[in-house]
Amino acid sequence: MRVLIVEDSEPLRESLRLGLTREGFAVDVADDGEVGLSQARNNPYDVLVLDLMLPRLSGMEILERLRDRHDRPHVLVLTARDQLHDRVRGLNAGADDYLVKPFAFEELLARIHALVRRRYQEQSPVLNIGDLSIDVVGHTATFGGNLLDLTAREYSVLEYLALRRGQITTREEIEDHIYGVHKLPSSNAVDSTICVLRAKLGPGGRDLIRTRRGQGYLLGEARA
Amino acid sequence: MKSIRTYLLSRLLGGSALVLAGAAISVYFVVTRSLEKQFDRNLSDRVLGFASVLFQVEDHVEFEFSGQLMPEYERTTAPSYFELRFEDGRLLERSESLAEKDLDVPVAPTSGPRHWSAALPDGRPGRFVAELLEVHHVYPEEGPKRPRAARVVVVVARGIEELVAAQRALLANVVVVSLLLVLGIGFLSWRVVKQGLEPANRLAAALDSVNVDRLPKRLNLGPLPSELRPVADKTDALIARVDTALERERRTSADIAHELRNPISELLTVSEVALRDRNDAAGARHALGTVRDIAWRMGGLVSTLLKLARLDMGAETFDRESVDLGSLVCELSRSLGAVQQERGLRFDNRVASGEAVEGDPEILRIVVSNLLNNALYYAPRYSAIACRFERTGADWKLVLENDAAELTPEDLRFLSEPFWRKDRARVDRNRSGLGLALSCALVEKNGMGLSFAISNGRFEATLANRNGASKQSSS
Repeated sequence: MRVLIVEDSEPLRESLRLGLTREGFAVDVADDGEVGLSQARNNPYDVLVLDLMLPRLSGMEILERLRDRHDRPHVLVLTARDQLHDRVRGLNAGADDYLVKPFAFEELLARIHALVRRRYQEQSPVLNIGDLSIDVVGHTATFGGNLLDLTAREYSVLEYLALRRGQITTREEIEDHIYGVHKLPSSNAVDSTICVLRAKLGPGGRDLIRTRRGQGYLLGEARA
Repeated sequence: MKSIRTYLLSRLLGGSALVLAGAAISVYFVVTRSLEKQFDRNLSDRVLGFASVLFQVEDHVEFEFSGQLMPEYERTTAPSYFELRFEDGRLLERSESLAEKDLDVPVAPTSGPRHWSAALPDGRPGRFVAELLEVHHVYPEEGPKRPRAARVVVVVARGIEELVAAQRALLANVVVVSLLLVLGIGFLSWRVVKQGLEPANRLAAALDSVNVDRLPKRLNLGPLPSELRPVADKTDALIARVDTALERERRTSADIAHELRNPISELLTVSEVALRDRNDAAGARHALGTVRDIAWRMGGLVSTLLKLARLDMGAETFDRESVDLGSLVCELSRSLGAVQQERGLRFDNRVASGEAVEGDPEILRIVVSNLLNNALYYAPRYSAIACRFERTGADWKLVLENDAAELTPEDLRFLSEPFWRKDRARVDRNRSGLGLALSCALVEKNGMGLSFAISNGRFEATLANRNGASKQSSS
C-alpha cells in the first residue's frame, strides 16, 4: 500500500517513513504543504498522513483542496491540536481519522491499516480467497494452512491483489501502489514478483493469480 | 477607617447627640430662667399687694392686713413671710409665721424690687424680695402743711419648693425627650446608612460572585449612584484587563504544551520505530542521535521559557558596559550570511563601526541577533533589508527594516506575545515564536525599548535607549 506522509518535522517524518517502510508500505514524504498537495494530486496514494501545521500551506487547506477529488486518498490527520473543535473542523474538512500527538506508532499503524481496509471496503483484517488467507495486521499469508515465506515486496503485491480480488489489476497500478515516487521499479519487477508468488503458492495455488494478456493480473474469480 | 457604616453611624449619632444635648441644655436654662422670673414677678406682685393696704393718715401709718385674704403668711406648714419696717429700721409689721423673728436683708432696699435667694427662717430654701415703698396718704392735701410721706421697706419671702419641682420635672422631660430623639435619630441613621450603602453591598456581592475562570464582560449592577459609577466602571475596566492577561496566560500555556507535544511526539516515534527492529544497530545509533538533537531543541525552548519567567520575576541581573553596535551588527550579519544568500536578500548595513552604546553585551547580542534573524527569515525572497543607527545627544536608536507585505498595523501589538504567528500554518519548526517576546522582556529590564512600526508594506523594528524609545513611541 502506498502512503504519503506530509510532516515538517524531519525526525518524525523520517521515523515514520522508516517504520512504515519496514511494515511493507511504499512511503513518500513531503516537508511542506505545497509539495504535499502536489504529490497527493499526482499519485494514487491509499493513505495520506497529514500534519495540520505546515509551512506554505496548512494541512486544513490541503484537506479542503482534496475534498472534491473522487480518487483522493483516505486522510489520517496527525496533529498536536487536541481540542474538540479542532478535531471536528478537521473531520468536516475531509479527514477520515484523527490522531493527536504524541501517539504510539502501533496505534498509527493500526489506524492506517483500518483506513486501507475502508478504502477497499474490507471489514475483516483477514482476507480469504479460497485456500489463501492473508492477515493484513500480522503481515502473514497462508495457503492451505501453510505459512508462506514472503518478502515484504512479495507480501505487498499479494495483499494488493487480494484487496482488489475479482478485479483486473494492471501492472502500472501495482507499481503505483507498491513503489514510492523515488523508487522506480525495473520494467519486469512486477512480472518477476508475480512469478515468485506463483512458485511459493505451489501447484495448488498456481492458478490463483491469473494473467489476462494485455490487461493485467486477476486474483480469484472475476466479478461479473 | 474600619467601616464606612460604623464611621457614618458614629459620626451621625455623635453629632446628633451633641446638637440635641446643646438644644436640651439651652431649653432647660431658658425655661428655668423664665420660671424664676415668673416666680420673682409673683413675689413683686405680693409687695405691691402690701402697698395697697398701707395708708398714712397725718403722721400715722396704718397697715390693714387681713390674714383671711392671705392665709399663707399665717399657716404653720410651709408658710410665706413678710416684714415691714420703716426706713429708719423700726418694725411696722411682720407675718405671724415669723413668730417674732427678723428677716435678714443682705441688700440695701431701693424703690425697685431686689431679689435674692436664701434660707427661710424655717430652714427651707426660699426666695426673697425687698422694696422701699412710699406710703399712700389717705387724705392728701396739697400744701406746705402736708407731712412728708413715710417710706417703708417691705420684705416678702416664700419657699421655692414648687419652682424646684417644676425645674426638676422640666429637666427629666428634657432628658427623656433628648434620649428618645437620639434613639430615633440612631434608628433613622442606621436605616439611611444601610440604604445608602446598599449599592456598595451590591458591588461587593457582584465582585464576590465573579468566577475567575469565566470573567464577565461587565458587572451587572443595575442603577448605581453617581459616586459609585466610576468605581464600577473602573472595576469593569480592571476585569477586562485581568481577562486579557488571563487569556494571554492561558494561550501561552496552551502554546507551550503544544510546542512541547511536537518534540515529545518526535521522541516517541523515533524511539518506538528504532525499537521495532532490534537488529538494526546503525538505525538505533541514528535514532539516538536524533533523540539527542530533539532533547537539545527542547532544552533550548525550556531555557527560553525559564528566562522569560525569571525576567518576569525580576530574578535576572544585567551588566552595563560600552558595546560597539556597529561591530555587533557586522558580526551577526556575517554569521547569517548563508541564510541571506540562500534567500537572495540584499542587506544594506549603514551602522558604522565604533557606534558604541551602554548596555549588557549579552542582551544586546540576543536582541540584535533576533531582529536580524527575523528580518532575514520573514522578508520576501530577493528583497532588501536595511539597518541604520541614529544618535541625537544622549539618545540613540538602531532601526532594522524589511518588506512585510502581509503584516498589518493591527498585528504589531501581538508581535511581542509568546508563540504569536501571523500564519497559524507553521512557518518553521525551529522557530518557536518566543524570540521577540524574550527580546522585548530583555530590553525592558535592561533600560531600553523595542518598538515596531509598519508603513507601506515596510516593517521597522527599532531598538533604542529609554529616552529614544519614549520619543519613538510618542512620535
